[in-house]
Amino acid sequence: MPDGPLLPKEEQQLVEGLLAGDDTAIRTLYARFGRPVFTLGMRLLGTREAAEELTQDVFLAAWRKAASFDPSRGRLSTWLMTIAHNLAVDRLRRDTGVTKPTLILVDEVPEHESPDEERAFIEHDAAIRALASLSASERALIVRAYFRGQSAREISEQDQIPLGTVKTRLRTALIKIRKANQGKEL
Amino acid sequence: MTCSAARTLLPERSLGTLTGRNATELERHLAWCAACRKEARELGAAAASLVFALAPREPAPELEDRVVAAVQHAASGRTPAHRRGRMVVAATVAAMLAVAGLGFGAVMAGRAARFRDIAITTSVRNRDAVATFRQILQSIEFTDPGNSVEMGQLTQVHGGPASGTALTLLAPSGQDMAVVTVAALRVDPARFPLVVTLVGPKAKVRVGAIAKVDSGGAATIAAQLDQDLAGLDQVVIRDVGGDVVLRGELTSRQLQSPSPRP
Repeated sequence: MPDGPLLPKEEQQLVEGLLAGDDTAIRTLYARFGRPVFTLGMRLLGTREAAEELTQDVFLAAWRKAASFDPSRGRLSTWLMTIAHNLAVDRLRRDTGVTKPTLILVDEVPEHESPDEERAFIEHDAAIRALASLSASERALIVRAYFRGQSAREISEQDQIPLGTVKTRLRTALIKIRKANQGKEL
Repeated sequence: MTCSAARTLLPERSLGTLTGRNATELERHLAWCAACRKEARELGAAAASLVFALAPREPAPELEDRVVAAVQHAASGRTPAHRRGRMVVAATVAAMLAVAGLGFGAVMAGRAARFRDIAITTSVRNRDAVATFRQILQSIEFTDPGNSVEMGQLTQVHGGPASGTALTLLAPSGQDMAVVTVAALRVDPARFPLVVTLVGPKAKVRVGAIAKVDSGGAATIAAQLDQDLAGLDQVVIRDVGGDVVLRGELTSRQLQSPSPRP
């Protein structure tokens, strides 16, 4: 399996390998997505224990949903990160007492020596650039919705701005991110 | 839900914060609207990319082995693969028989004015149903060597042209499936719904209810049941008053499956 972006056929093969419990396929998927899933867990759930549990559950959920993966309808990274985010937000909302660490979008990027680390660096860099395309208020809005699990209504009520305005701003921000990502294989 | 309304909800769906009735209605809309589905995909990809903006955190090295072990343990049961194959079976059987039933109804409405014609057509239809079941099972993923099939013919209790076919798919997981089709069934509408039950020496399981039949007296129900249907060898269809309308006996069928998937 190449180190760069995967072709749809390769993504399908990996998911089929996951479904079959193939050691190589699971480890390949973990090498690509284990760290981002764990990172998301750390960000949303706040502890290593919760993030590790989330990571394990995300791969199990991916195995359960493997039959629904269709590479013609979206990339593997989107599919897996959506599973991860949905699981994490569910837990965040359920465990209201969870400690939420301060969000760090940019900090010291680790040295990248292995292909996996280099790919992670490129992905991180591209995502940061996409976020940088947003205004400060759009970025804050996206962070509240995506990383804190706040609904548009909750944001509207907290900030005392119309619900429709929140929805429009979220949509505008996502479209900007989408445009910034165009041509990049995250 | 209109496309305009759907698109106001798509950002929240992409960000994972849409819940409740809005979420349900949006999913319904997306099921048929390709344009909104395309936008949902694009916004979803944009949202998913946000994960990579977080400063990476390193999980413990042993987490990889734990993940691999957990997935392999789950995969050793292979339930999703079975379920997927079985759902394909259920959907295919139901769809094909529904089409067959409609075709039968149209034929009956035009041609089968006489009892003898009805009986002949019903006989042909049942033979076709059995052939269809067999063909489906041989052509799709029904591959676990532990799976087995039981099939039977249903006949009208008090005489008459009505008949039917029943099939059960028995899986080692105990999550079994039943498909029952009836034909040429003439029953007073007041006696519906008809309840289909599988009965054994020690247990019985309700498969479902037939709410109505088409103009040819045909109907099909298919159900996946999280119960073990092994040993339930009688199929009984009762009307709303509890009177038996059709009944039959299931027997094991040897159906050759394709080669097991790796």
